[in-house]
Amino acid sequence: MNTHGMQRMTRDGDRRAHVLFGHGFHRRTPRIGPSRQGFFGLAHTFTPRATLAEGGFNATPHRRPSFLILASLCALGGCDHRPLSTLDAAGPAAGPIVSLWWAMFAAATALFVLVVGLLWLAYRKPGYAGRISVRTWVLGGGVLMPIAVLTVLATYAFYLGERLIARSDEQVVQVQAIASMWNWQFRYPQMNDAASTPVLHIPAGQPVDMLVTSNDVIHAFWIPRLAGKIDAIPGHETRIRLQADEPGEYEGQCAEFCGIGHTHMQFKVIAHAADEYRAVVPRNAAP
Amino acid sequence: MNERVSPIALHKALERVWGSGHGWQRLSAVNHTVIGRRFIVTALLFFAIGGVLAMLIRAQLATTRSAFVGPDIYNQLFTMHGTVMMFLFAIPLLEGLGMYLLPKMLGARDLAFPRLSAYGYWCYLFGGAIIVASMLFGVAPDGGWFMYTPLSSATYTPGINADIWLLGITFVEISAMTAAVEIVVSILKLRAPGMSLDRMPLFGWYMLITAFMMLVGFPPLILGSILLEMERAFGLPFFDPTRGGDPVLWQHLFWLFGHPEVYIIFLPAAAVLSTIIPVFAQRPIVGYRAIVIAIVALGFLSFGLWVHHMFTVGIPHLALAFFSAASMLVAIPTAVQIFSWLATLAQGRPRYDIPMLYVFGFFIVFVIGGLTGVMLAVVPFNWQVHDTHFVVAHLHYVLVGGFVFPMLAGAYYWLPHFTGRSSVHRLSVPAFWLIIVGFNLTFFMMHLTGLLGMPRRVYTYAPNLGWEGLNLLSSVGGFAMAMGFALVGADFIMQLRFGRRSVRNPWQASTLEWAQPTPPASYAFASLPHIEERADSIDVPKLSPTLAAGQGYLGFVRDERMETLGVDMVTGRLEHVMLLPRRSYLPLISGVLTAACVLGMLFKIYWFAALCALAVIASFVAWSQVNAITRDLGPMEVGRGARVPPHTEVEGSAPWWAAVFSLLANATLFASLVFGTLYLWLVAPKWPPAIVVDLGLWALVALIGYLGHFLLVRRAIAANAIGKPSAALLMLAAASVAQLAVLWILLARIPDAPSHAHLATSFALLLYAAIHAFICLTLTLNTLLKARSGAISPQRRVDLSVLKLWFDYAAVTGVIAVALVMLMPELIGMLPPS
Amino acid sequence: MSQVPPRRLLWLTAGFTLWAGAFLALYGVNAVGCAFAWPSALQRGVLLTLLALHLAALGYLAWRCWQLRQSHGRPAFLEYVGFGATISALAATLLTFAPSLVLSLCD
Repeated sequence: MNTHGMQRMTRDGDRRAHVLFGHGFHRRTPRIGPSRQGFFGLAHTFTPRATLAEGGFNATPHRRPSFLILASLCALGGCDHRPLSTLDAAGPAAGPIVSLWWAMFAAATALFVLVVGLLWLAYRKPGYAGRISVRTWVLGGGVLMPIAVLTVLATYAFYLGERLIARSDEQVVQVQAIASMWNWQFRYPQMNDAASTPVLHIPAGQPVDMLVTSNDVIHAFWIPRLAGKIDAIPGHETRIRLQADEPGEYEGQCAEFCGIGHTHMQFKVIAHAADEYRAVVPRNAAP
Repeated sequence: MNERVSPIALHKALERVWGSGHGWQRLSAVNHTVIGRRFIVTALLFFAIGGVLAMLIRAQLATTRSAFVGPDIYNQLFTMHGTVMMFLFAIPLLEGLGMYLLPKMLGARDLAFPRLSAYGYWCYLFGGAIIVASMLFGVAPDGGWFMYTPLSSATYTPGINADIWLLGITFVEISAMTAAVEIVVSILKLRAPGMSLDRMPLFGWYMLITAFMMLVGFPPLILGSILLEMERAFGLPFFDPTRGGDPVLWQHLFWLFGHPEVYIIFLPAAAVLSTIIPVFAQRPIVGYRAIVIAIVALGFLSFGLWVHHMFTVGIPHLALAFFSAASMLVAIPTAVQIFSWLATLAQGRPRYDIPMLYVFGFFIVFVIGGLTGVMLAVVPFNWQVHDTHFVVAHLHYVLVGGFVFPMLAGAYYWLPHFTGRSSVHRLSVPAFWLIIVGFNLTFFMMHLTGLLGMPRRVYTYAPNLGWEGLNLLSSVGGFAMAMGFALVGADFIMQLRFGRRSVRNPWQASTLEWAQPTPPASYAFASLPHIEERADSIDVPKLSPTLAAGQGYLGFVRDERMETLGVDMVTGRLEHVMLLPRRSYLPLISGVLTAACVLGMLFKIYWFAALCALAVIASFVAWSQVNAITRDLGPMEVGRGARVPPHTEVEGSAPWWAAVFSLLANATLFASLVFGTLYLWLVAPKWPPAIVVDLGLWALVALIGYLGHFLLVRRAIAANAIGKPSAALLMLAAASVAQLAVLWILLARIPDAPSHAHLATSFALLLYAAIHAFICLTLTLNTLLKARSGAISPQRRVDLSVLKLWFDYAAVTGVIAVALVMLMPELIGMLPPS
Repeated sequence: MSQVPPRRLLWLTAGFTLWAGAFLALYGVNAVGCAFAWPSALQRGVLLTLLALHLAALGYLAWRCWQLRQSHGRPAFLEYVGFGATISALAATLLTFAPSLVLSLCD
């Protein structure tokens, strides 16, 4: 793993390797400080094999990517350079969601094939299809099968949701994000209220709570590679927890329509190595 | 009446009474076939407009950094695309189809309130025209089709754009509400005798549930729109966080409507499928009872999903989990229907034809949409793809797959009924393939662009994000799909102009609409059937000629009146004759006056709007007075040896039930207002307020006044029973005036309503009570007029029953409103000081 | 179905009306509890009590529907679908609100 400083650009160089080995999959082990275990959930579940020594932070089972699908779709889209891709997860708030997506995609494909297959069967092999009893069709297919699938899905969904939420009673680095039409300002309340920056500076390898609000209309704070999004609502402060495993640059954007300038309301995120973080912010902040 | 008339003579007599006239006279049409077709054709025109808007969007997004349109126009394009498609195409199309088909399938001559249907159409046409015309003036709404605040508030959208949306949509929603009331009442009361609920075709069940959903689902939006317009026009802060309002309240109110809306759109399409699939499987539907249970479940469950549009707002995880679980559960009734349809095909002898092509298309496209919907119900996944093109993909898969495709199947299926001609198939098949291939090319890619981070509502994108190739494919697909739709349009026109005369019942279906001449006559059935079996297993070739010969019920014309039959809701036992009003220009006049009122509010000429509003009320009074039955008719012959009273002389007739269901919708609106008040108290920023409302003793006067109303209206009913209602009605009117005065005093006690949401919500609650006092006054005066003109008697008492409903409703909601405003200081006291 | 009171139609809707009631109660109580910072044990206790009450009411309703079904030889239509709707509502209530047992109340 690299130990470069804060200026490492994730969009250079080793992208091709990522394409070959399954682009967009979070395969790196997370870098965590010794005292930050388990903020993204129960540390004892699903510990991946190579990271036991470092503490099971990225507690997801390893995904088996659909190389073929992704490669062919990538050929269309040009996958070299996707700073806003949710599939190119760079932290434990985004990684498990990617795995979940692929699992759901696989299950959905199977169910789709089932339904279309049954339709085909009804037309092409009426004798066979006709012998399935009404009860099996309606109760089995319509009720029992969906309940089974959905219970599994819902259980995992709630479990993952619990892991990802930013609990208000935990001690993490906090950064305020203030949205306006049409730019972002970030304040650092734990750094003697160091004045704001238009670029988001966060420490790498540890969870960060974003406290988000707006000065005017509803916007949304979103760094796709690091976490889901949270709305920036005037009069309220919302909270989201994210983490960049590696130092480097990431991209964020406003994800709630906010008028003429919505399309251009992007922001840059720079994750610094933990030891450099405390120095970086006052240096970059506007007075 | 007793002598046998020839079918031709009967046809002529009925046509004379039921016909809609020629030329300009058609403006007075109230016939369900005419109005239903108007809704459908107008909806298809709006679909074309929405489609052109979509093509402009795709043209802009086809390449990166395109200079086709700038963000100001683009924002209008996507807002209008969504608004036109959802409000001006989908809902009116299903209303029109329901209006056209329901009386025919249920064995009635018309819907319960023909003039109301016509009025609804004019409201739709004029409201839609206002909204679409705004594009020509460059002031089209541009805040997204769901118009989130504060972006859509006066501060950030100072122009008239948002007002056009708010007023225009509310205007169009009048037609949705009138259609909903009419459909519910017609399905429950106006079926053919013998058609108990379990013999009703599934189409009837679906439309019944859809209409109930509309009654309960639209009012939150109507309330929200009214509140937002009041905020924009008069500064009352319901959604402004700087003054104690909350922008999230708008989202709750909108999506409380918005989510049921999409099931309101889906269910009639499923109704079409449940009607068509058995015909093409050549056997009755499998799982009739399971489907009924499933759609009841769907109707309710769909009201518990709305927060899944708001998963990123910052609501606690447990609350999100309720909505997530319900959103997944809703897949089960949907699956029950899908597997029932598959079972029907599997256990039948399925055949191919053009409608089935679109049914296949439905299975493929809608199932994909449903599967991505379950994915979106998963909260963590939603946090990533919310507000991206993944959602755009999902919503188009379910709406096009789940509504457009079944409706196209229905169109090809019923076009021989509409036109009496059969299709020229050359165009139909290539059109289908263009549409389905084009559709998938357009929208499948969007799943990926969304996952790759492309948000919604961006007018362009940077070249280095991996979105260009996919967007170009989407745009190409979009144009292919548009060509397909154009071919379908051409196909319909070809059938209309050049199709061969079709045989009756070309699909050998067994529902009642095929047991009449096609295209249908204005009176639908020359005589009405008695139903002995389930109404989707009718022996059409045997039944048709007997009905045409007048051998069913009401095979005659009496006193130049339009009549149909009313039955018991559950058993279908014959109960009464429904006397319907003949064609009239009044609906058009009311529609024009309502449009004038809306335009007055739009341009902020409020005295003019108020004047027009009074004129509208006067026109409704005219509706009520014209066509009034001025004598007791007693039991009347209806054919087949039966004699039943007219609807004016029974309990539980259509007008009474219409009042009940209208009040159900009204109650939902009031409940939304109460919810909004309590929501702001609990959650909004900048509470507690500096000033708190103090109603003083006048509040008690108001409460006592309501008790008085409760007693007085019953007195009026008792007075009518002995034939002397006028004095009691006059007293009731005086009491209403007094109550109005008291409420006015209460309203005046609210200081500076624009300064804080507490004051604004208190004002809104009392205003609601005052408006209802005014409505009760108007109804009382109307009833008094009818009493003086002889339209009311101890037997003909439905007007008084309706009056009682309104007074009781006004009293209950009035008491709650006043009590809540009285309670607010206590509730505010519980809040931590700011 | 010869003599069936229109009230019988309400059997179709009673179950899901209870589900809707549970939704209002639990969502509302959760919002109030979080706004007034109730202790979480109390809040969860109230939620689960409300849920139990609704489930009990639904159970009772289902049992009455079942009795009604059995009182006719072959279950008539409204009794059948009424029972089906009530059972569905019972299952829906259980599944929708089961998360109240474990999930974070106010985060």
